[in-house]
Amino acid sequence: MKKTILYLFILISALNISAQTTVISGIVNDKVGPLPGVAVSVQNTTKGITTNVEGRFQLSGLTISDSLIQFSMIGYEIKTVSIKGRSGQLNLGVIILEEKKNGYQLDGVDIVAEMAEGEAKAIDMTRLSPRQMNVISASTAMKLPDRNVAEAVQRIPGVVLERDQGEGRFISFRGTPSDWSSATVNGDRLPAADEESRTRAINFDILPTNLVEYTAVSKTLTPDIEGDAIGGSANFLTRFPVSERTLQFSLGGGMNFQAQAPVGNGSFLYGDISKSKKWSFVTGASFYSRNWATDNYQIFYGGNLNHALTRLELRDYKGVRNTLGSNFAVQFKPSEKWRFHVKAIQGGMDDNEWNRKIMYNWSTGVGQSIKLQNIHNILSNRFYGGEAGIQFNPKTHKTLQFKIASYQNEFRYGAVPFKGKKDARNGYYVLEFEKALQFTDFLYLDENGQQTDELNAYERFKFLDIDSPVEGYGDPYTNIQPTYKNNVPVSPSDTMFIFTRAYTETNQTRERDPIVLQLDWSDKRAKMVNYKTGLKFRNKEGFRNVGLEVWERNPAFPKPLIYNNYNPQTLDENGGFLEELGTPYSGKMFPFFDKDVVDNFIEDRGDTLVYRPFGVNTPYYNQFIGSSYAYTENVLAGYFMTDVFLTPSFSFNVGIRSELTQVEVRADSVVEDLVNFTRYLVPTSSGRNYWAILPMLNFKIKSGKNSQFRGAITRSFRRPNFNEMKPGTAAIDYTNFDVVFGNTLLRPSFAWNADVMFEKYINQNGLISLGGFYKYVTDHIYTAFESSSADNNGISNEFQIPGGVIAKKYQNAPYANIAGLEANLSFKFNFLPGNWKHFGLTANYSYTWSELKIESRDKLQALPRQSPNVANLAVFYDAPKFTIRFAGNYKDPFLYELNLYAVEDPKTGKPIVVHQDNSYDMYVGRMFSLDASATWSFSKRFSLTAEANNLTNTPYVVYRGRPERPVKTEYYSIRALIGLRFTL
Amino acid sequence: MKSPLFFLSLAAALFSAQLEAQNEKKVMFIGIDGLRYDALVEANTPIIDSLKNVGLYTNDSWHLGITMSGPSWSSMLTGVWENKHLVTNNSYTNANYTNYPYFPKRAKECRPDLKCVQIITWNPMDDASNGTGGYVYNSGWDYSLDVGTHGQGLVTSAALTQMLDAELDVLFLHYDEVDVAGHANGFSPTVPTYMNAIEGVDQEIGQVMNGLRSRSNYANEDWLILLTTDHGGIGLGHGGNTNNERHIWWIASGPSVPNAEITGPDPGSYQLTGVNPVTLDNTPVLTDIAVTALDHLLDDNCNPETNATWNLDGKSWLDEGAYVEDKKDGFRFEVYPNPSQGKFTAVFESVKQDAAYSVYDQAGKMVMMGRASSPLMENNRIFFDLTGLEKGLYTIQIQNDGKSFSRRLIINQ
Repeated sequence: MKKTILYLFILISALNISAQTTVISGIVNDKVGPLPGVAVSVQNTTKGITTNVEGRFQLSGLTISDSLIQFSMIGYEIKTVSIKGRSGQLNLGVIILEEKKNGYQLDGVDIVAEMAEGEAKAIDMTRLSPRQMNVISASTAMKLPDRNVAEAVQRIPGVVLERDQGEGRFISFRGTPSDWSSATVNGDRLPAADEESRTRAINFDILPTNLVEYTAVSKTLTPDIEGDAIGGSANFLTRFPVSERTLQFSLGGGMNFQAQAPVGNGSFLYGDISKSKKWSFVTGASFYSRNWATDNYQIFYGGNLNHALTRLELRDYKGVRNTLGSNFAVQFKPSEKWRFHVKAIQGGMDDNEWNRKIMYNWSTGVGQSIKLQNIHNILSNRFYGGEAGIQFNPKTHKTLQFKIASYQNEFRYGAVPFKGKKDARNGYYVLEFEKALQFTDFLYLDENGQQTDELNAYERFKFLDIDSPVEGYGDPYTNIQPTYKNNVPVSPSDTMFIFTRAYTETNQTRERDPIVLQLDWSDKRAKMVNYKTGLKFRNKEGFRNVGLEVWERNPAFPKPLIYNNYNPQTLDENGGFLEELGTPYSGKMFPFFDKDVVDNFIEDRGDTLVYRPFGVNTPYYNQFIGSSYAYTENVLAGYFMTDVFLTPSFSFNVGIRSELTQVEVRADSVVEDLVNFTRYLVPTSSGRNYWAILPMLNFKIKSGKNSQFRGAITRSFRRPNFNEMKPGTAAIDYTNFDVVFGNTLLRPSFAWNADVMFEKYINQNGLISLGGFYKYVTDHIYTAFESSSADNNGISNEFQIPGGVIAKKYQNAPYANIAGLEANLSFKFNFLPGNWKHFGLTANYSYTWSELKIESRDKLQALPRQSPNVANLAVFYDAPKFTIRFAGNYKDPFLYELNLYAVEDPKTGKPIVVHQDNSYDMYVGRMFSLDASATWSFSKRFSLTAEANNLTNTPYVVYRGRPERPVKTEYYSIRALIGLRFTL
Repeated sequence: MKSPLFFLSLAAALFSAQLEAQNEKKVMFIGIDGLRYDALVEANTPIIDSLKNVGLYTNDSWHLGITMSGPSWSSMLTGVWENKHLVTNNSYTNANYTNYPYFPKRAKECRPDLKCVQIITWNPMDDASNGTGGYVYNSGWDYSLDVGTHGQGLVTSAALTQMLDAELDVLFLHYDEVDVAGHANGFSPTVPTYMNAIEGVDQEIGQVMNGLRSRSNYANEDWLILLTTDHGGIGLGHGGNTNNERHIWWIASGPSVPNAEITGPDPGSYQLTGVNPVTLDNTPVLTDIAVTALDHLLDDNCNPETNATWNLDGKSWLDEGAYVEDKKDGFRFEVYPNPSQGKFTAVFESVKQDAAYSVYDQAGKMVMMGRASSPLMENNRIFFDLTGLEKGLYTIQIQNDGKSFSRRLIINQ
């Protein structure tokens, strides 16, 4: 490899010497901002180039004295610039292209078909990129009913969305695990801080779509972008400073049908440029406030040896989400050689969530009971950051860029149940009441598996009909009706719900990249060979602190706190709880408290409750200590790459990136002092340095006037998540009866990726592409059983999972193979007569096959979180005055999590994994969603927009082994919004 | 001096122990949460078996209350039923420990210097004064340690630490993980993790016993070791009414304890309704644990069974007059359902041929005899049809393969 680079150096040097000719450069803008993909050609020659993402171009190697330079772009008038013969360098400055007058004149106003324009831009960027990349422009994204950037990128082939309460949150490329992918803002990988997820994947729902100028999704990497992206990389370029005064704003209002409550949004964008053209800026903000609601039921299958039900939960969620994002960018360009910029972005979401839970416990925990939980919490995410940069062009073809950036992402709970915002006791607040009783819907079996009566039962189960060994027993999964009788009332409380406890799960999670430094140097002197090299340093620090604050009945007051004494109210079911299933629980829902009763319950009870602050005596103390950690990470990366245009139809990009990672994770071990009856923490830490050496090759063969073939062989990696390599106590999950240790010796996963793609551009308005990919991944990280009970610092961890299953530990899987096919079609019927020419469609489809070798299963597994067939289809009508679009999104069921339940072999002491097949594994169910959006531009400045999401009301389903055995079923219903948009 | 203990038996005379009068009486009570009796029989538990082999034990202890941990442990540790201690759930609301305290509190009324310690893994059982989420008060523990979710290994470690204390008189240990394993994957002899958990706790008890025997003054101490479970389990839970939840076991072992098995019919159904008082007097139940412990700890001036202020429900199995039906003979032998309307099944470890049986009423008069109907050799079961006898308490004696077995039966029509 070194020899290749050396050879390239020589080649570049040689070309530099010979290229002493005219160089023409400049920037092409439209009235909104830089215009990528504009064809820049020299008339009467074959020379030509296109503008880059920033609208810049550079033509070199011209030898003719006088020429006409032509700028052309779909949707814009062609512009021609005449230059006088001279040698050396010529900077044409900013060239403004006028939007094409399509001939549609309504009320004297010219309407430009924005759809075509935006998508054409995106298509051009896709075509010109050295890597396999898809681009969504702001104007395209604004057309879609996608409020956050995750939802916008799901329109790209092979992108799969992981949703939370119906809104996109994490993205995955080609169905690979979401934390295999990288998300960057202006090229910097963002810090991640999420309530639940401990991965490096950012929660996209905090970033509103309209703060972003372009979203570029790269499925193959080049050395100049961050290499920890096995799945792919999404880069969000925030809004560029404008080249003329710009003002846009929009307001919208609508309805969420599940919540039966309003939805509203608004945004503005304002930018201007100074008279001298030296200063320019843009600023924007966006808010989106929506009431949401979901009807959810969850079934808990307690056993790993059969599918007996232990619990049914009916969950009624209602909430209000407020997303507020803003950004600012300013540029100072004193001369063509110097350019300074500052960019800042901020995004945040508050989710004020109410959850009323009815839990039928056939056999969870301590006995048969029904629990009622009034749950309230405010989930608060805040992201902000920015960068300052300098660009220096000592010569037009040479660019030196330097920037310094800083980002922070934080999750915390809002002021519930205590009013003080800084009150550390606030968290996920649960107020719980319980009633012990006897269920009467069990199946009783004798020793031979025959049905028998209660008294003589050898086994007792609650089964769904499909799992019942006895014909005629069992509820269908869509209508589980628990039946029970009250306990004989020994004391008055036994027929009533009584207070068990109130608690808050506290969580503060923050990750900061205080300093990110980047230096890039590129030389595009020659048309045949360009090179680019750079260095990047990133410092990261973060922590996750979780705890449990508990309020219990004060033992000094033995009287029960009875549910009905606090005035519970009939639950507002918003048109019927689970009406999609025929409201099976109509009239059977228990009443719940008013919001004030819930929020004030602890304070109103005074001494009747006793506060158990988080500490060594907290139940599940180990679990919280094992889930809390802090870390620092430094990454130093360097790269060199070169673009070689070997022949007019063959070019390639080759280079290498190396990243050195230095990581330290700190966590605590719990030590028991049995002499003094105390328990204390010992801080532990572990560090690790590792290299990633990532050679990459992308090539492009122009196979015809409008078609090209691309290929790439690249190496990429995935850093272990911090929780996966933490020392100290294990995270104990009592729901799954797991103890999971971090592994301080965990290696990063590496992948060799091979990608091919054939692209054909049709009539400048269409694109058809076919591609395939293959990944060979070593050291994929998963959890496997660990027989040692000592924790990572050698402090003996006495906790052993009952029954001899000891603990799990993050491990590296030997290998995984992933292969897939992709097809993409984007087309506008503009050759058809009349109004038909406004119709168009975009469609994409990807199929992915995968296999994963893990030691605990004999056979190869599908890679978890990997959907085999994913498809998008959008049909649109895009006339100047009116556009309407229907978009469908389909995703196959996919394996989500393996059940690696193991039993200790008494002979060998080794864990034996019980389930070798997939019948106990978790799957995410089939999804098909349909959205619609329309825009009516009724005057020059105003347009009316309408959108409706989730028209199919597809539930989010997680199931165990087969769809008839659901674990989680969640309905979001339809969300609709009507808005007004103003553009100056 | 000869022990005052003397056991009547239909089958055989009993071991009786020699004791030095000055030996200090002490109690170690080990509670294993949720250990179903048939699983204990099938599990490989050499330590528990060794305690059983020299001790007094029963596989026929019947739970008469709510088969949940809070009510169950309260009945065992107070010696009264739910209608007195009022603990009917795991939130311990309305608990009346004021009038019906834990047995160490009662024991201290007679022996104020007793040192009593509990080590538990389920925090509602902790003493409320500890501020760790426990609801129990008036318990009489000098120390109450909740090792919480840190596992049963810590119970053992903490117990071994306590063993070093020469002053220790009463130690209660609570092992919770068999119950957790049952909830996780099933309370059943067919569930490997449940059986593994039972075998695991057996090893823990082995360590505790080693610690006990290593006490410096062990030779001069008279430890009563009580080992029991609070309830059984079925499927993935308990709290219900099946025999597998209510039918529990316990073992008493120590120098003062004879070697015998106690059997008995079910004195009544769930939650104290329909209890046959005669049967209740003759069958081992939960409330007997505290009373047996008190009987061991206290001299005759503080008889737990007759103290009207204490008003305890249980009975001591260390009393003269408490009776045991047959000697421990190494055979597994069960009769079910019991009570029944007259049709019974007896299960043996092995059946050689048809069995002869005779049935005696409460006065000892033989009321029926015959040969049992064709035994199912493969299942080692013999069926008896006693329909036609009046309802009441009977004793059935079965001869098979040269051995004789007796059981008390209830016929209810």
